[in-house]
Amino acid sequence: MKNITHNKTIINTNINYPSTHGILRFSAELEGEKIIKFAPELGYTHRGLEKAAQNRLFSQYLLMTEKIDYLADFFYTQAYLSATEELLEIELPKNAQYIRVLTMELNRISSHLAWLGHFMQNLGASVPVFYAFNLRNEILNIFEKITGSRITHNYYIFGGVRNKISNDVLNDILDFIKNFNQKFKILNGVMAENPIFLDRTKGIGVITTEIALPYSITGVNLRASGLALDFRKEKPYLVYDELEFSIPTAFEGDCHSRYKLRMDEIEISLNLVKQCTEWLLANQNGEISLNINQAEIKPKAGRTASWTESPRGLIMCHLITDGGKKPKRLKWRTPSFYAVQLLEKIAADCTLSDLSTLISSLDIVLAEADR
Amino acid sequence: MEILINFIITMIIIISVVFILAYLEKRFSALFALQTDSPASVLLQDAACMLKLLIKEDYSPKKGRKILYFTAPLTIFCAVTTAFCLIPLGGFYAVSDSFPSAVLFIALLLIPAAAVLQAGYSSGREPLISAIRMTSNLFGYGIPVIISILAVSFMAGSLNINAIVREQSSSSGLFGWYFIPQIIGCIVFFICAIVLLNHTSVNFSKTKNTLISDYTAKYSGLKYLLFVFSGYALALLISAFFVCVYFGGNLSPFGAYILPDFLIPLEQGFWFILKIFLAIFFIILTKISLPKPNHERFLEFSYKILIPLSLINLNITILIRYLAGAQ
Amino acid sequence: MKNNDLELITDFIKGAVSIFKTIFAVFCESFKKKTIPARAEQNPQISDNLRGLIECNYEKCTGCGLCIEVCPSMNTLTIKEDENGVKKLTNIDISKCAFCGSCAYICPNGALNITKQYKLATNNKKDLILDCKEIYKANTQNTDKTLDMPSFVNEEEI
Repeated sequence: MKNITHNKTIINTNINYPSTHGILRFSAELEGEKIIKFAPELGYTHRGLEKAAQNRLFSQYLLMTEKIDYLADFFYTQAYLSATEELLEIELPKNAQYIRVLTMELNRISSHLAWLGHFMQNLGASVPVFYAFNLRNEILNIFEKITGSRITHNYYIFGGVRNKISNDVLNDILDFIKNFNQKFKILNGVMAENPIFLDRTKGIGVITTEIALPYSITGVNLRASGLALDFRKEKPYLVYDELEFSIPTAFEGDCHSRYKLRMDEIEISLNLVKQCTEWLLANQNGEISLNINQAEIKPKAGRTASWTESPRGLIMCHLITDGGKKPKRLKWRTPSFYAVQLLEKIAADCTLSDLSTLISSLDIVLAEADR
Repeated sequence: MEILINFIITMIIIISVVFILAYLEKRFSALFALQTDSPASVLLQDAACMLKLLIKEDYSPKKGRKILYFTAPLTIFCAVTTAFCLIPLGGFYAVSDSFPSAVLFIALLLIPAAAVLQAGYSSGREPLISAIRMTSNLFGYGIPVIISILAVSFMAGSLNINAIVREQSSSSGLFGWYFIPQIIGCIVFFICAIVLLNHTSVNFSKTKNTLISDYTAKYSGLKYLLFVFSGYALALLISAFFVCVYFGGNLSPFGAYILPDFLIPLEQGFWFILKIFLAIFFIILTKISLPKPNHERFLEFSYKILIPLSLINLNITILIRYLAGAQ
Repeated sequence: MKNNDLELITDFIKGAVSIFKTIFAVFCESFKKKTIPARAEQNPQISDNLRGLIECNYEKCTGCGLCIEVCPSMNTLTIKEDENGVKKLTNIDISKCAFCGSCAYICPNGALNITKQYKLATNNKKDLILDCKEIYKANTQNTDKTLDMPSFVNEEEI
């Protein structure tokens, strides 16, 4: 037989590709089962949220920030408020800061649990989704008791938070922490030592620091390759410099180490939630907001950027104001955008059957990549 | 005329049995996934789904390969429903004692592999890819089945399913069944049964990467219903076979039958159905709690681990039988 | 795959043990109490902070316009002059409302308040633009304070 060269085929996927959390279209050039070139295409969820900021007052835009990423909405609100509060030159009271950290860390846990469910489902196991979402349901119930709503909360305001968290809810949070580990052990321990699971995630989609840094990757994707960069410790905001936590890292950079790191992050966030709850139980008589008139927000003219560590990476809110009632320009730097660009380089080495695992292990939410 | 009436009655029984199996499978999957739903709604939904398939438009290809297209679902259906007659349910046997029914049974179960290829070849490019994947799975995991059955037939002395079941009956009941001496073969057969059932977790013909739909993509209406039906019937047949060969088909675990003489067929039926129920329970439990393996490693697992294991089992059985027979 | 035979066998055994543990764990978990019901209940338990329909007290409203300044969707609230020449909140458009409650939190006279009514579906889009004056009149005359949507899908009819 003569030399048989594999034919190169080009597949253009439909936008309903199942492993992405949102709508992503890509076209890939295949040789047999191996991918040679990969070209993702974004923009199907673009809602014009940066332009919308130029037409709205500061107080009107506050609620739109939570719709950028529906899984991690407290982080975007905090990023926006950091930037505006810096230009308003106000400082939050301590109780408000602790409440904000408490809700943000609970949000981090619920976002990672949602990611875990989708990741396992892409691998083919249909049972862990339900376990993960059952756990997440309890966190959303806690949010409902605090803020009145499960996903779009409208809880942070300029100068603090809206309501006080009552003692009953704080004790509910402590109960939740106690019962969490028992149910989490199944997801983390038993399901993840499976040889089938290990075989499908180890060694797939290796990201090294040299590849990741030029693409501005942050968050778990970068920490899995060895660099311990967490913006809660690099540029501490709110009360993170008073709380004790560590930054886990891994060195292999494959899908399995990203999975392991997110599980470790859930445990660290639980510890942070516990520290905040105990502080709040001990100091109950603090102010929770500065009582600013929410309709008359007029920051001084200037430009600033705020740095926030969300479950997917670094969020930057770049704000330019001119002293008026509306922002002049608001730019969001969202972490999923850079992860999608990284796919172009990483997917060129893997086979078609591993592509689904790779995309879902990067924790891409396309609503925040498209804004 | 009698034959026609018998045929209709048999078909009605088979269809309702498969229907109940489909309901069971959904119920168990829901149970393990922590869902709660009322049984009536699941049954009614299944009935509505099957009725809906009957009234859909019938598609046929315009150019070429029409014969292959039309005969593929018929082949599967005929193969699967013929295999129903070989299982000993009550005291009435359809084949004689000297007929090698185990071999015929396995051959009938592997005909769907060829029919799948037929369906994929006549449908287009992507159904062909999925059909090839499924056929490679079925053959790769069908070989350990054949070797395990050979080992059991050495223990029983014949290839007839009725004889295999009868040889397992002894006064010690549960401990005389073949799953204890043939434990390796039992586990190998169990793993192969999961794959041959083609649940979505090991269904590589329908992976979510490029092939959103599998080799039945160009079929609709009654032909599609035949594919779905034979999928469920295959599940029932394999678990029935598993129970017959390793767990003593319709024998009671206490050794002797409890009920008086004229009610024995009823009791045999009861034990048989209970064992099939448990077998389906454990098969669904296993396949739903594990993620999907990589396709290449999957075939490697079969050829490199399962076939050598079953051959070892066969050799041990032959050795022990020879030594026992020589004494 | 490791070349050492002993490691191969221990890996195999470890793998088999973990598969058994997984299956056993799934089996045990399926018998525990299930917290999420399969179908939505007819009258679910709602929390105290639930944000439902926004209601306007027509007498207390002074038409200051602060509620419009915090509303994120800019077409929900309309302030116009009524027959006496006084500016009041006349219309609330539910089809554009996000039910965030910011207007109620900021109203200085306490004219807007958040009710717990969330069953607001109707077949007619024009019913979604609520007239505050008529609703206030209906509420003060009516003892039971729920909103009566004209073509509201009734639960007993289902």
